Amino acid sequence: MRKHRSRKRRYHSVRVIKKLIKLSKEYSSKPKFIPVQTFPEEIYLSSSDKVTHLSLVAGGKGIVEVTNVSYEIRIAENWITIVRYDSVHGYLHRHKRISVNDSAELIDREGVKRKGNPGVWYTWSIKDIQKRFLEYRAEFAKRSKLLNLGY
Amino acid sequence: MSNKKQAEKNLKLSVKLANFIADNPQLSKTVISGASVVPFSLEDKELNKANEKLVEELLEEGKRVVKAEETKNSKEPWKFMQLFT
Repeated sequence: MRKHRSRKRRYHSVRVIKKLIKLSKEYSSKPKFIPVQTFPEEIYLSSSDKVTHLSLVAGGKGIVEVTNVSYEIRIAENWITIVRYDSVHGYLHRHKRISVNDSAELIDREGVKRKGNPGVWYTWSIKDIQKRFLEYRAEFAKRSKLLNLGY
Repeated sequence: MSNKKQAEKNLKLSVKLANFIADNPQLSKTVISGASVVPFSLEDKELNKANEKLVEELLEEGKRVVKAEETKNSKEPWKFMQLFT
């Protein structure tokens, strides 16, 4: 008795094709949200520090990228960003400026929010600055070999 | 009020304000576009007094300043006032 070899289907059934056509029509009729960059907003905290934030927003989806949330301080008439967050590469991470004289940045994800979406990361970044800004100032002052930064 | 205390209190307000601005991106194109925003509390008069001084300093520097005042209205929790020289 001959054994029947199983043959791989090289075609899709009519039912599957109709379903795919229906899905593609539904997808093309849905409005596509084009991401729009917000303008950078500065919120002043005192005469010597401020928070700046900038994000990518897409219609009904809300924030789709944290472009920049930064804490800046004024030293001798110059504004310096001492810590900032962004999710430009798809995940939230922190940049810390090394010192007043060295504009290079240390990048890390230690203690940074990993789960969630850009909207959650945006809120988390600002709250992290709220909780830890004194700590960031103290670290920056130490690396810059300054006694205090104006407080 | 010391700068440190002012910054701590303003940071609490700025969390709420930043979230409101992110939820209403049209604000960043119109009312607060390119301006320096100073938040004002609904209840903290001492903070508001210090922030008034901050606004004056920023205006003297030639900045375009917007006052963001907290309101009781849940639909419009912030009111914006443009102060340009």
